[in-house]
Amino acid sequence: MTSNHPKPSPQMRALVDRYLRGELSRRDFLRTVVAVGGLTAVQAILAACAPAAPPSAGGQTGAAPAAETAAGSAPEPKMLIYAASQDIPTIDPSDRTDYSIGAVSRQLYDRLFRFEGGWPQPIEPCICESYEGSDDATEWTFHLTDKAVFHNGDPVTAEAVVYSYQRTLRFQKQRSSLIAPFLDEGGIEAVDDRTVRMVLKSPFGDFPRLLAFHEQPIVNPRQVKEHEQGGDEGAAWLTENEAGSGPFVIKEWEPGNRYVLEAVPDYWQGWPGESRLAGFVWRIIRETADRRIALLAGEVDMADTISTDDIDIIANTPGYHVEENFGLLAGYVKMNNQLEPTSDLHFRKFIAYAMDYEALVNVLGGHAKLMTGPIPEGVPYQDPNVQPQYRHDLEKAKEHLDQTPWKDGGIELDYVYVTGLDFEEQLGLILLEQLGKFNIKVNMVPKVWPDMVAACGQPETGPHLINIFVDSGPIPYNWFVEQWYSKSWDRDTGGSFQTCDFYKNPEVDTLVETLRGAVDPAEQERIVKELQQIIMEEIPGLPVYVLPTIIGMSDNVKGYVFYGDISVDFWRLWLADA
Amino acid sequence: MQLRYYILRRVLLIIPVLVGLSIVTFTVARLVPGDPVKLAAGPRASPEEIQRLREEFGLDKPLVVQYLEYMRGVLQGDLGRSLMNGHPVTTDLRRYFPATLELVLVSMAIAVLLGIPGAVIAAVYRDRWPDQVSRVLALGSISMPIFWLAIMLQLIFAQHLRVLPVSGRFDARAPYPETITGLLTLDTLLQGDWTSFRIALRHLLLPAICQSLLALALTTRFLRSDILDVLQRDFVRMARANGIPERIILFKYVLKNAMIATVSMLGFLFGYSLGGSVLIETVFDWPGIGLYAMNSALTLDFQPIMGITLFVGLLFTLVNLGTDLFYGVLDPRIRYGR
Amino acid sequence: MDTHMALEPPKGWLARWLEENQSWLEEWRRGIHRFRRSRLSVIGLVMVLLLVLVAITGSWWVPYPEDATGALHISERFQPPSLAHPFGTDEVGRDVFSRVVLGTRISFQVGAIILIVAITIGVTLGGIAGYFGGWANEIIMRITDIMLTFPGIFLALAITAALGPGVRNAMLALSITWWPGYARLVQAQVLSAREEDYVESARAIGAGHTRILFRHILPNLLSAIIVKASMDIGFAILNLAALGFIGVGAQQPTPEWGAMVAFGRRFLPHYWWYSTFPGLAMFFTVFGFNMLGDGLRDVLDPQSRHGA
Repeated sequence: MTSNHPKPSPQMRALVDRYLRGELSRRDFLRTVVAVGGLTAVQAILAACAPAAPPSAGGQTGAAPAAETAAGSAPEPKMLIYAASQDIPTIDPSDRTDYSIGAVSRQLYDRLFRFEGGWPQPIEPCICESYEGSDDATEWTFHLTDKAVFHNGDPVTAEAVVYSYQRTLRFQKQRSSLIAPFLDEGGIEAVDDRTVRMVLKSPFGDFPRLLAFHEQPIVNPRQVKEHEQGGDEGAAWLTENEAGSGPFVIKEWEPGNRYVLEAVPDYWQGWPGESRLAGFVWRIIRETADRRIALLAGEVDMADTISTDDIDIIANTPGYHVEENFGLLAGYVKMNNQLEPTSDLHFRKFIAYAMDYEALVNVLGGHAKLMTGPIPEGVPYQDPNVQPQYRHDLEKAKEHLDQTPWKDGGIELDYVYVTGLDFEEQLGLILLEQLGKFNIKVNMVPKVWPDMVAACGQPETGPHLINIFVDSGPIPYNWFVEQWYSKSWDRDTGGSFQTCDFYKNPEVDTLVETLRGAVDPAEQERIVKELQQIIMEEIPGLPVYVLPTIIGMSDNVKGYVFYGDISVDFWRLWLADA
Repeated sequence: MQLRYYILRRVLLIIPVLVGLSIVTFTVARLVPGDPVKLAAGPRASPEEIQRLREEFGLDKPLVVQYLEYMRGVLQGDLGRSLMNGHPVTTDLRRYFPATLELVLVSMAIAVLLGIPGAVIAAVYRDRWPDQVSRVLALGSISMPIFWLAIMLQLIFAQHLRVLPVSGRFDARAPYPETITGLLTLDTLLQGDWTSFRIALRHLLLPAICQSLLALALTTRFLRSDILDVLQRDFVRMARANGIPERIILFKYVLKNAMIATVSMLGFLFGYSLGGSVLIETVFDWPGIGLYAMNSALTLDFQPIMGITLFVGLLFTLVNLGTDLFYGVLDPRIRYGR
Repeated sequence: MDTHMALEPPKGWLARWLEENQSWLEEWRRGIHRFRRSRLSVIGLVMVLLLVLVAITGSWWVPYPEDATGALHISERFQPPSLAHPFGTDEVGRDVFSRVVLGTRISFQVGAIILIVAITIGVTLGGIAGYFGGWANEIIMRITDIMLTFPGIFLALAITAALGPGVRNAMLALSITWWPGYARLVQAQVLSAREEDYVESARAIGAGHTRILFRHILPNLLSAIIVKASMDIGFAILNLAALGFIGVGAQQPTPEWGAMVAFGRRFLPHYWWYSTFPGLAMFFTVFGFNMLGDGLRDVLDPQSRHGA
C-alpha cells in the first residue's frame, strides 16, 4: 500500500559519502542518485549522516509496514478520542500555523513531503516523489506522484500545488512567513501536469527541508473556486471546511467544542499501520490536570501537553504510558542588548553564571534537557562542545559583576513571561532568588501573549529579561536569522518575540547571509559552528533548556511516532482491541 | 395611558444606555497597549503584511471614525471579525451562546426548585433551627469561591468516584445529537433520545450546581423575608380569622404575593449570570460565551471582546426591562417612583 | 462675667455633636444590643477580628516569612503537611502555611483599597446626583446604569488583560466595576433624605450645599454604606482571587490565594494540600465577613431585614 522505500545500497552510501566530502556537485549527485534508486533513500542517508544526531529518543518503534501484518488478526478500525490543550481556530491552509492547526491539517491535506518517524527527521515523499535542485540552489524542480486524488475525486496536479503555494504567498498571513523570504508568487510555476518548478529570490541550500518543515497543505483549486465569496479565494469557507486529499475528512465541526474527523478507507497512499483509525475526535481540555484525569478515567485515549509532574502518575497506572520526546522546542531567557544593564557583556555573563540551571531541571522533575549551545541538539551542525558553556557558578558570576558599574547591585530588572505558564514562572523565581543574592531585584512581570509580542517590537520597550520558546525546525539558517540577525528587528516594523535580544553584530549578520546561500554542506557546517561560537562568547541571551513533548496514552493506542513536535500524525495510529 | 407611557419610557431609556455601553466597550478594547495586528500576523510577518492587516481592520483611521464605522456595522448586525481566526463575531456568538443559556437556565431552575421550598420552611420555622441552618447555608454559599468548589467537586465526582465526566458538554465517544435549539438537554428531550439526554445531563450537572449556588442562596433568603412580610398583612389575618387552613393561606395567598419581588430578582440574576459564568465555564471547559470571552481577553482579540460585551450588556438590559415591565404591570405603584 | 465665661466655655464640639445626633446614636445603641444577641454575627465579628490580627501580625510569627518574597527550597518540593510545614510545601518547596497566612494581608489590603476607591467615587457621584437632581442626576445615573450593565467579572477580566496582569491593574479594574453600586445606593438615600424635614429646615436657615451634604445627609448614609461594604469586602476578595485564578491577578512571588489555587490545581489530587488550604482560607475569610455583614444589616438597617 505504502510506496516502497528502498533500503540504501552500499553503492548509494558511497555516493552520499563522496557528496558530503564535497567531491561531487549537488546536481551531479542528485542526478546520479535519482538514476540509481530514488530520493527517499538519499534522504534517509543524509539524515543518518547529520552530525551530532542524538540517539532516537523514547525508543519508539516506527510504524510497522502493512505488508508485515498477518491477515485477519488486525483489529477493527475504531474512533480515537484525543484530548488537546488547544482549540483549532481555523483550518485555512494559508492562514495560521498553531500546533492544533498543524495536527489536523496533516490529516485533511497532503503536502509535498512528510517527515518519516524517528529522530532526527528524515524527509519522506508524499505528493512529491522526487526533486532536484540547480547547482546554485536557486532553481528547484519537483516531480509529483500520479496516484494522489482529492476527496472529491479530482487528481492532485501540479496546478493545485502551484495554486496552494501562491494562495499562501498572496494572503501574506502567518503560513507564508517561513517561505516568503525565499519565494515570490511569480517564482513558482507548473511545468506540466506532474512537475512544479520553483525559482528562489536568492539561493538557499536547505530549501527542500524548509518545504518539508513548512508543510504547505495542498488544496483543490476547483473546490475553492466553487466556494469563493467576493474574491476571498474561499477564505471564509475554508476556515471550517476542507478541500484536500489527506487520509481523513471532516465529519463534525463544532468550533470551541469538538471536532470529529473520519478516515478515508481507500486513502491513495494507503495506511501504514497494522490497522487504522475509523476516525478521531479532537476534544479540547484546557487544564493540564483535567487532561490527565480524563485520560485515566478512560474518557479519552490520548492527551497531549502532559505536565512533568503527571508523567509518573500516568506511567504508574496500569494500562497507560507516556511518550516523552525531546524535539527542538528550546527555552531562552532573552536579554535586551540595547538597554542597560543587559547591554553590558559582563553583566550578561554574570546572569549566565548566576542562573541555577540544575534547580530548574529539578523543578521539572528531571524532565528537561539543558542546552549545550545557542541552538538545540538535533539541529544539523549543532556543536555540543562549543565554548564557553555557562553553568551555575556564583564565584564566576561575582567576577563578572565586579567588572560592571553595578557591582553592589541596587538595581531592578523586569522578567517577562506568559501569564499562567508554570515552567516560565518557575524559571523567573529561580532568577529572582539567585540575583537577589547580589542585591539585584527581579520583578516578575507576567503578560498575556499579545502584549509580550508587542513589547518585543522595539529595543526601547523590550524587557531586560524575557522567557521565550523557539522552534525554528531542523534548518540551522532559520535559528540564526530569526534570533540574532539584526535586520530581523532593526527595521521599520520592529522585531518579533524571537529577536528580543536585540542583538547587533555585523560579523554575525554577514555570516548569516553567507549561510543562506551556502550549498556545500561542509561550508554550511563551518559557518554554523562559527556562529555558535560567537553567540556563546557574546551570550546575547541565555539558552536554557529543551522542553520535551509529553503525550500520555492508553496502551491500546498503537503506532505512535514522534515527529519533532507535539503534533500527532493520526494517519499512523490504530487502536488495539481492549 | 399611564401603563403605556411607562413602557414607552422604559423602552426609550434603553437607547442611551446602549450607546453608552458601546462607547465604554470600545474604550476598553482600545486600552490594549500592544499591537494586536502584529500578533495576528505572526512572528515572521513582513512589514507589508502588518500594514495590510491594519488597513483591513481599519486600525489606521482616527478613533472617532473607527467608532462610527463600528457602530454602523453593529446596526447592520455586523460585529466584526476575530483577528485570531477570521470568524465573524456574530457567528461565534450564535455558536457559544446556547451552551451558556442552557447552563444558566438549568442553574436558575435548580435555584427555584430548591429555593422556594427552602424559603417556605425557613419562614415557617422562623428563627428556629431550620431557619438558622438555611441562613448559615446561604451565607456559606455566597462566601464560596465557586472556582475552588468546582475544582473540588470535579475531583470528587470525576476523578475519585468516577460517576460524572470531568468537563465538556457531551461525551466524545457518543454521536453528537441533532441540534435544534442548541440546548442539548432540550433538543434530546424533544427528539425522545433518552441516551443522549442522560449524557448531556450528566455533563451539565456539576457546572449547573456550582453556577446555581448564588441564585439559590439569594432566592431562599429573600423569599423567606418576603413571606414573613406578607404574613403580617391584614388579608392574612382576616383569612386566618375566617378559619381558612394555614396550608392554604401559605401556598395560595402568601406565596403568590411574596413571589413578585423574587421573580424580579431572579430576572436580574438571570441577566447577570449570562455574563458571569466565566469562572464555571473555565473550570469545566464549557463551550459558552464565558469561555469565548476569556479566550478573547487573553489573546486581546478586540473585536470579539467588544462584541461579547455589547451582546451581554444588551441581553442584561433586555432581561431587566422585561422584569421591570412585568413588575410594573403587577404592581402599579412602581410606575410612579423610579 | 468674662472670667465666668472663661471658666465655663461653650459646650465642646463632641457634646454638641452628641446632642445633635442623639436620635441615630440611640438607634445604633439599640442595634448593638440586637447584634450581640445574634450568635452568627458575633462569630463573624470574632472571625474577622482574628483574621485582621493575623493579617497585621502574620509576618512576625509565620515560620518562613522569606517564602513570600522569593526564597525557594527546591529540594523540599511537595512535602506533605507535617509539624514543620502544617499545610505542606508547594512545587518550589515553599511553605504553604506561611504563604496562606501572608496572603491574608494581601487579600485584606486589596479588598479594602477596592472598597475605599469604589465608595469614594460612588459617594461623590451618587451624592451629587441625588442632591442636585435634574441634569446632574440624569447624566450620572445613566452612566451608573451603563456601568451596572456590564457583568463585573468579565469587564474586570478584559481591563486587566488589556492593561497587563498584576495586582495593581486587577485592583483598578475591580474598583471601576464596583463604584456604580454605591452611586446608586447613595443617590437613592440622598434623594429620600432630601425630602425630610431637617434638611428642609437647614436649607431654610441658609446652610450651604456642602454643609447640608456633609453634616446632615452623609451621617445618615453611613449605616447603609457600612452594611453594603461589610458584605462587599468579601466579594471583592473573591473577585480578586477569581482574577488571580484566571491568571491576570497578583503575580509571583506574591502569595495570593486565587493564584495559589490555580497553580495547585495542576497537582491535584496527589498534592492536595497546595490548592485546598488557600481555598479554605478564602472561604472562611469571606464567610466571616458575610456573617458580620448579615448581623450589621440587622443592626443598622432594620427596615430591610432580608436574610442573606
